[in-house]
Amino acid sequence: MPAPTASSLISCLDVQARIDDITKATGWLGALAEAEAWPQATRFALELSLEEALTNVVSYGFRDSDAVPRIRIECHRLPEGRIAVRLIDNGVPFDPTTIAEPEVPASIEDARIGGHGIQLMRNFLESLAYAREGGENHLTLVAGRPD
Amino acid sequence: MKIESKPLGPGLVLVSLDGRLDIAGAAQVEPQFKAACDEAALLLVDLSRTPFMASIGIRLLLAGAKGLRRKGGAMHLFACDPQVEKVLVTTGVDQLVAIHATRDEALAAAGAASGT
Repeated sequence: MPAPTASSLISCLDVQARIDDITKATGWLGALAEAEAWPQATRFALELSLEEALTNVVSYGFRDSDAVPRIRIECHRLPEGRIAVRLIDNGVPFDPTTIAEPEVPASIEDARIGGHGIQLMRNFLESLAYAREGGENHLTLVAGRPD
Repeated sequence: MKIESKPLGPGLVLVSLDGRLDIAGAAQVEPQFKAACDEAALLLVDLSRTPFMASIGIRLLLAGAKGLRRKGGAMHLFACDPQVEKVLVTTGVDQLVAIHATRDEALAAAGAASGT
């Protein structure tokens, strides 16, 4: 029976909690974008958001955890040309959708150097959704709303 | 990712970034980019061959711009890809670092800023 959301899995990738695997994952997504001829804006939004989300998981997800890291990335085709990328990991619970946006500083002296990843995901994606299921973080990135 | 740094005049340095400014790219260019920021008072950054930028790239640019500002200098970016420009605008970098359409406009602005 088809899922009610009518999504279909295009591809999936398992990665390690290593910095090098972030580039491996965005490269995998870029190859899918080529093969599926996604619009440039869809591809950019998803590569950017996957890089930011996976950087958080690799950097912080297993720092205070004894779990053997399991990180899976799924890419799904949704109706009307939308694409969903789902990032599933067994790291410590972390819901990026609850993080506050940094304020734009008045001057370069006051500017925070970091903390821009979640702000970028929110602005480039159509939706960013989080769930904690069965001891895993499930983060779903959706882009590609038709013009 | 590749980086090329070229002095254009006293205290004026042009840096060209070539490739994806992602976590791997930023690690490759960071030492030379920092060195250029240390050397320059006014730093022009050519982004015409940078099709992708993530928050790690914002981090690199802001750290460099802060250092330049501390010694009375400035950073000028030019020739951004539209999606890269959206990254810069979303994170507020455009409020802190000047963004120009062309190298000539960046040069003119840098010249005006230095009083030459």
